[in-house]
Amino acid sequence: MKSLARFAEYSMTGGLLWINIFIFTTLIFYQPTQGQSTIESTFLLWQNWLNVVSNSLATLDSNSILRSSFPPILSTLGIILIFCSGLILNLISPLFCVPFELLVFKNKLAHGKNQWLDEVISPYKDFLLDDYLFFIQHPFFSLKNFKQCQQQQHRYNKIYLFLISYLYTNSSAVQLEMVAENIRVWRISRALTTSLIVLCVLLTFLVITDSGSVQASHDAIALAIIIPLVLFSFSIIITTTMFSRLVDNIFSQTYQIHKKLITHL
Amino acid sequence: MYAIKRLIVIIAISILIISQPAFADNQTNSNNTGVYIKAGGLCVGGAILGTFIPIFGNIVGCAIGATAGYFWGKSPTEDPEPITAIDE
Repeated sequence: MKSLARFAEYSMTGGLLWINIFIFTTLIFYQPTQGQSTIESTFLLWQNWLNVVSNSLATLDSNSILRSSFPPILSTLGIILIFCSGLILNLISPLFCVPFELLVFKNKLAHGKNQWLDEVISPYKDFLLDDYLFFIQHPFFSLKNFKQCQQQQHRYNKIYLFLISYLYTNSSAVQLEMVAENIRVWRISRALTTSLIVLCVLLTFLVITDSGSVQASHDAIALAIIIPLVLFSFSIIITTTMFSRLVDNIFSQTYQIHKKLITHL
Repeated sequence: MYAIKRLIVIIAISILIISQPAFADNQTNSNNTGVYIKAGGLCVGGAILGTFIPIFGNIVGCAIGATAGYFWGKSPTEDPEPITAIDE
């Protein structure tokens, strides 16, 4: 069941990436035609692409075995490609998402009413306490120490994984299901964010292709500067919102388990 | 923080130094607009790519992208003549 859910997750995110790439390719090859609206010109372009594909497939007529087996092979390769794209998006998503997640996590940890977290972590001081204190007290980035950025990311991963393992060790199956669901949604949002960022970067490179869609300067400014900035802001909002929800869930579960363990003692 | 401010000032000065001279209204200036759009587009792209190191990565990515866009967009054709002094 879990592998099926993972397959659906990767297919969804990989599919979105390819939709984004399709939009970008359309923008590159788009040529405005006189007397036709933008939508008509776009459909004409897609029609031309379909004709090219049909003509390519027509050459397979001579070999009947290849013609019958070619569409299923193509579909299988397409599914594998979409699945692998989703997997790659999941692998590269920490590069763009972790800096924002880290800021959210640090703000939540440094919150004045989180003394109970010190109580949770203090029994494990040989493993975590130094990293925890350094993470809260120092900024994410320092010009004096370039490695601090990387070190803070390691600390963030350590604290986050510690809290997750604390939950997995002490909580019930129902509580775990809630956290697992939130983690799944957060992972999907990370991949979606990354696919949006890929589209942003591709759009900014649209201006150097001199395509028909950027004939006028105001089109170029909108496509290469304004839309990428809006999409990037949108992806930051998605990342921070989803991660904030996940952290709130983890903190509330950890707090309840901690209080329960204290009362049992 | 002071170092970041210094870096921003250096980038701003560099942009001013490499910027184009002014042209008369009747002369076509579309080539220069293209250069600035390309530089602006790649500046945004570089800044987004540099996100994996916040602030520093954004600034460096933006500067590299803008410089690449400027040199990429610069046309090899002759530039129009700058405005000359009006002769009485």
